[in-house]
Amino acid sequence: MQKFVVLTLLFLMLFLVGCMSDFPLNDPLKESYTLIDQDSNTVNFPKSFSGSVIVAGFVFVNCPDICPLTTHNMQAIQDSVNTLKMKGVEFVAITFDPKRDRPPVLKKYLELREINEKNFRFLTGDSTIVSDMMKRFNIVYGSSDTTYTEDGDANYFYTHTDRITLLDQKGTILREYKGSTVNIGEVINDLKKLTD
Amino acid sequence: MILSFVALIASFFMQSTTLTVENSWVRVGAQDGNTALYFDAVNPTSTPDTLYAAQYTGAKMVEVHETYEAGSGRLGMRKTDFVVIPAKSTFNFKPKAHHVMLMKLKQDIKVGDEVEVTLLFKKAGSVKVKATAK
Repeated sequence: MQKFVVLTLLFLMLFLVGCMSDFPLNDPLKESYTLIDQDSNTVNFPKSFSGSVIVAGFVFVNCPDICPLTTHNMQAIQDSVNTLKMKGVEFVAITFDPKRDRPPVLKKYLELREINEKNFRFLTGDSTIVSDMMKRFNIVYGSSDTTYTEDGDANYFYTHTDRITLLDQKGTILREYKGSTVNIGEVINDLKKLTD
Repeated sequence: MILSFVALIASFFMQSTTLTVENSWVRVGAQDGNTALYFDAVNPTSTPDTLYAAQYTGAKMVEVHETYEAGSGRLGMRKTDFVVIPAKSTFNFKPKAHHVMLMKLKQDIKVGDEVEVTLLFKKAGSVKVKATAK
């Protein structure tokens, strides 16, 4: 009897350990979104990155304060990944302002920040597709203040979710971080778990 | 000895009578886009001062903005008409807080570029700030 209880407990422990994951989410992304990158190449997200871990950030170019922090953090993670010679990690920024953020604008954004484009894509696309994608990733955004220059040029902003999302090699969403304040070391540790 | 003491006292009063701006920097930005200027406003005087405007010839429009939490985990930015710099204190214009928005830039601001912005305070008057882009 005692032997049976011990074996049952052992089985339960092994079962629970097996169920525990290193990541809080396990959300397979079944959809694929057709977008274009900063060089106007067509990209299917996440299919085009199949086999690579994806660090995805959600930003818009005209955001001068919050989104640059997210982009800077992605760049810092990229620097660490490249320094550590980690393979199979792709960085993807996705705009939720596709009307203004066309490929040349995205290209300039990356160039001004001296971002290594070897494994860093900045994606835009059709407004409906981008909107669907943002919903799928739980990115909430909406236009806020609009100001006008003396010559009537409109300048509008968004309120938006502050987010970097981690996906595994199969396109499963595993973890969400606050984009502007993410702990770089924490992301690197997560990437090591996925690429080792 | 007496002269040194007088110089020390004079220096103390000179330092404590003027609002100054320190640690200024600006983010890189693309032509037609926006960027932000950050700095510390150091007010050693015994009265508060108020930043109410800023000027930059390299942008079509300049405003003082603040970043705020818009609920449901969202962040946003909005114009603020003025920022009070309390007496004998330093106010940090920093990322995710108050900043000066340079909007509709007339040309790119690249890493290492220097921009000159004029900050307008009610008491200190116009204070010219040179900021390097990063």
